[in-house]
Order: sequence, then C-alpha cells, then structure tokens
Amino acid sequence: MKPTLALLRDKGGFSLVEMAIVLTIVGLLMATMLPSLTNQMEQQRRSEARKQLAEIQQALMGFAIMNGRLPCPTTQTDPANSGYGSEAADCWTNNPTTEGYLPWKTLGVAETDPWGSKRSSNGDAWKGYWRYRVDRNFAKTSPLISMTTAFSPSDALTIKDSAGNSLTSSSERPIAIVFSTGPDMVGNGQNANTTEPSPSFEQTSGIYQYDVPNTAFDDILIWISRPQLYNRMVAAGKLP
Amino acid sequence: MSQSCRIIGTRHPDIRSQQGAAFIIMLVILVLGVTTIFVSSLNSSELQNAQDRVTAEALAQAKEALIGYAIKVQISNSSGCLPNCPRPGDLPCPDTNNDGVQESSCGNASGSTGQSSRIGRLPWKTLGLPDLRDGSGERLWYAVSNNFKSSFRNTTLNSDTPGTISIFASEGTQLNNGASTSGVAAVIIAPGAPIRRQDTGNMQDRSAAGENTPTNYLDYATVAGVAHDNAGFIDSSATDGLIQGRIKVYDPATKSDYVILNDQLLTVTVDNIMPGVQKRVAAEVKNCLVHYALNNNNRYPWATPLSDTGSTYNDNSDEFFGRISDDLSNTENDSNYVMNNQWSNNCNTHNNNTPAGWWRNWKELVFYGVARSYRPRDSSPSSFPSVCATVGRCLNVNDTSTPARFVVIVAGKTLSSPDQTNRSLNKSNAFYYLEGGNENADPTPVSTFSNTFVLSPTSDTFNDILVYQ
Repeated sequence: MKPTLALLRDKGGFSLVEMAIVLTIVGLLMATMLPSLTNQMEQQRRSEARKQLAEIQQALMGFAIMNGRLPCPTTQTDPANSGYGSEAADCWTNNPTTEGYLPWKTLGVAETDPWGSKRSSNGDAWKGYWRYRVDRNFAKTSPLISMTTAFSPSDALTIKDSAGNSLTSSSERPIAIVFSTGPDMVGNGQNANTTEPSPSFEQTSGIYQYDVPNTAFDDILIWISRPQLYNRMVAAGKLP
Repeated sequence: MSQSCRIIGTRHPDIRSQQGAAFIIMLVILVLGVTTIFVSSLNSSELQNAQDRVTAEALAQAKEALIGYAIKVQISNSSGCLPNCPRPGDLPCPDTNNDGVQESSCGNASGSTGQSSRIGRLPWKTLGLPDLRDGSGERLWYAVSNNFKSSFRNTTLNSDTPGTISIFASEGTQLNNGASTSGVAAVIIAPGAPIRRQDTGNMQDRSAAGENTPTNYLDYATVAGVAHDNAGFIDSSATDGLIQGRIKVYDPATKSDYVILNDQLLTVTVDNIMPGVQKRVAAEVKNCLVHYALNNNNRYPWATPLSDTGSTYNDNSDEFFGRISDDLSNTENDSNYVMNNQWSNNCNTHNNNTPAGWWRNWKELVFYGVARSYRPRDSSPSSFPSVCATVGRCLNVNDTSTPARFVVIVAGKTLSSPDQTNRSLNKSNAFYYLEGGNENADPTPVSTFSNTFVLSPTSDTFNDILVYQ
C-alpha cells in the first residue's frame, strides 16, 4: 500500500477545474439518458402488462377446462366483502351481460395492471383494475359450453381499431375480452364508459377497441378465440 | 496493483515522475470498447431470440385455433348440402386479399383449379384470433391441403384422409411427402423480414402494391441442388412443397453467411387434427344413441353386421356389435313395433333413415356395441331394462368399473402395426379398423361380450377413440 499512497501524495490530487469538467460531462451524460430511462420504464410496464394479460388468457382457458364455462366479471365494489374479486353469480341472466372487472381471485391472477394500485376501502378509486366482458352464452352454468354454443346476439362482442375497422368477424366473435386501461388508467375510445374511473358495469355496447398505443389510445386489450378454447377443451377431454 | 507498480517502478525508476493520464485514458477507452462490443453482440442475438420467441408464440396460437376450428365445424343432419356439406376436420381457405377473412373458395372439389389460392395469409378473423404478427411484425401466411379445404370440399374427409402438402427440412431432407400418406393438412408460415429473393435477386416489395403477392413475403432457396419456392406449392406433389428456414449460404466476397430464406414453418398434420375430430364424431354418435334411447324406453337399436358393406346399412336381429345402422327395421320388428325404425330428432348423423352428408364420410369407420340388457326388447308390454349393475349383462370398459350400456368406437387411420393396410378390401373384418382388443368384440355373443373394450390415449399402435354410456 505504501508506494501507492506515496504516488498519490506526489500527484497532489485533481484540480477544481478538472473536477468541474468531469462533473459537467457526467451531468450531461445523465441528462441525455434520463428521458430514455423513463421511456424504458414505461416500455417495461407495457411489456409487463402484456405478460400478465397472457397469463390471464391462460387462466381463463384453464377455468373453462375445469368448469366448462368462462367466469362472470366481478362487480363487488367493497373490499371488505367476501365476494370482492370473485366472479358475480349468474351474470348471464343479464341480457346482454354487463362489463365488470376481471375476477382476479377466482382466476388467481394479478389484481391490477402495472400502473394500478390496490384498493383497500369502498371509497377508493379503481386504478388499473383489469376490465372484463364475457359473451353470456359462454358464462352460463347451464347449459355449459358445447360444440354448438352460439354467440349471444345481444352481446355481439366486436373489436375495432382506432380508425373504426372491425378486427373481428360476425361469424367468429370474441367470447371474452380483457383489457388494461394503460398508463392513463381510464378506458379510451370504445373502451371508455361515462362514469370513469368509478365503476360502471356497462351493459349496452359490445364494441371494444384494440390498437397500438397512440396519442388518444393507450389501452392494452386481448380476446379469447372460440376455436382456440375449443382446441384446449377437446385436448383436455372436457369437450365434446 | 501495488505489486505491479513496484515491479514497474523498479524497472523504470522515473515512472513516479509521470502523471499516468495516458494510461488511464487508454484504460477507459479499452473498457468502453469492450463493453460496447459485448453489449451490441448481446443485443443482436438477444433481439433475434426475442423475435423468434414472438414468432413461435404466434405460430403456436394459430395452430391451436386451426385445430379447434376443424373440430368445431358446425354440422347438421342434412344431406341436401351434398357434395359440399360441412365436415368435421374442415380447415378455412386462406385470405388472399389481406382482410383477415377466408376467401369463399380456394379451388374446385378436385383441386384442379385454385392451386394459387390455397396459399395466402392466415384468415385470423375467421379463426377469432387477434391480428397475429411474427417477430418482424408481419402477418402470418397459411397453406391448406386440397383434401381439408372447406370450399369447395373434396369428397371424403375421415381418419384415412391424408394431407397433400410436402415439407422439407432446411438442409433439404423430406419430412412429409404430399404424394403419400405423410403429407400435412396445413402449414402456417411466418414470413420474416423482407429479403432479396434468390431466384429474381429482387428485394421483396411489401408496399401496398405488393402486399398480396406471395413472392414478396415467402422466399426461394436452392438447397443441395434442388430449388424450393415457398411462395407456392402443388397438392400431392412429392417435390413441390415448402421448406423450413432459416437457410444461409456462404458469400465468398464478404467471407460470411447470409440468409436467403427466413420463412419459419409450423405444420398442422393430420395426426394433430384427427384425434379431436374422431372425438367429435364419437360424441355426435353417442348423442344420437342417447336421444334414441330417451324416446324408446331406454333401449338401443341393433347394429349392422360388419359384412353388410352396401350403401345402406341395415340393422340385424341379435347383432350386438357392428356398424351404426341407417335402417332400424329389425329393431322395430323385434320390439313388436314399439321401438322406432328411425333415428330421433336432435341427431346429426341421420335425418330419419337418411345418412347426413358428413356422416357418409365416417359410417364405415364407426363401430357400436350394445349391452344385452339394453338390446331391443323382444317381449311386450314395454319394459325398461334392468340397470347395468347386474353383472354379466353389460359391457366392460377398461376405463371404468361401472359396466356400460353401449360403446361407440371411431377407428383412426390405417395403422402399419398392427398391419391394417388393404382396409378397403377387408371392410367386414374389424381387425383392419380397431386394435388393442377392441377388434375382438364378438358380434353375436352367446350371453354377453367376453372382451373388455379399451379406451386409451392415441399412439403409433392404437388410435381408436371410444366413448360409452
């Protein structure tokens, strides 16, 4: 150690000017990296949300394999209630069904998206909770899903892009839709409803919106394909 | 550090008087350089991996939906739709105008027309899928076999129907032969990023002007002297199929490999589709038997003898095992005209006695055994059969300890072991259709069946699908 210390003493350290230059350079570097860092974090959240939605999709198909139907949305607003986070009973008696929140407890999936925060009391706002809509014919407890289950004409679930082009066909509709409200934590475009962000279990419109993020739309939406679900259910021996 | 300094110090006594700034700068540059190279190499292979992962997930999702589509085809008991009745196992036509929906036709029944429309984009809207993209952001492409296309349909689709598309591995070996029984039913293709086609040397034009031209998405490669063009294929050709990417060639000028074909394929084989389709057929037949029994004092009709290979299957008295009958006259007779000579409503195999269009593809391959307790009643007044708890009067199935009232067995494709080839010449021999013990069922047992019916997963040596009640 001694020779090194001696060496340092000989040099007499950095001058103030040198130090200032170094700090300026470091500062500049940090300043240029900061925006890309926040961008990176936002990107991270989006990909996390997509990953969670993929898990939710698997969980929904798993639920159908076990129960022969898809779950109802959860519509319980009081976190103290034992039914909070669990599917509402017999949502399919509403015709069309209502939209609600994904029954995260029933499915055993993340309660909110990466932007959201968990509610602890009835007065708390719903921030970043997954929104969920199911075609009523696929949520019925009787009859369960069969090879001949048709789409509910009153639900008529449809996905459109921001320009209004339909991304689904009337002969093969989504049977369930899940979406994250994205960074702004409210549904955009067709996914919006009038009383956001407090819960509104929208009943009328079966039209939803999917698009790449743009200035007016930041929701992330997935839907369940009937042929894909049928393939899983047949492979699992649940159908036909 | 101090050690090395000391050593250096002893060799060059005047080093202490130097500032050492150049050394530090050198070190910084070196570290930066190494890090840059490391990070960038990590990035490009990581990026490639990430893209391949996205591609694989999209392909897998598309394959699941295609299999589900084939199994869930909506069928009816109509025969008026012939020769173009919906059949379990139908696959959609490709989308050739990029609207996500299958085209209304991809060739005539024989397939002599429309070869080029049997390759196009995956009809994602028709399959209820999201707008699937591969790792480079392109929509998926899709080729369908003439035997499985849903419009216009070729004559027969059952477990013995082969796919007609040939597939080659990237080094040129044949994986599936469309001219034999190993052809595939469909292929999903991830087109990858645009590249220069090896045949024309042109860059693929994916602007709006070129978006519906297969050559702008699917690639061309000469492998081991054989040319492969993924932008088209010919049904039932042993040589003109599709080849798996990526294929690289060595460029002597740059002394490196470059990619000439980056299409990623995922095949949908007949074996992928058929077990589910067989289950569907079995379920339809079971449904017909259940509804028949509901209307006929819980009793089931006689079977048709295996030797009866005429166009109409006639039931036969005391025939406990055979094929599903079209005509139930002997059932009616033996029940003193209490049981119906026609199939019930809510049955998709028959409209009264007329076989449905789709059922004509399957009737030769479906077998049925009925328990003695549930045979057509031969005494009046009407009586309900005793339950299967009575030992010896019902059927044994290996899957359950509860005896069964009836079994329905849907034969899989012709196996080579046991050797079931020449099936069409041996229609009256169950050995050519069933295996694992199911082929031993005695059609006219003295008391009851001595064999145990076998329900087992599909394998290379067993492909019967059995349902019972």
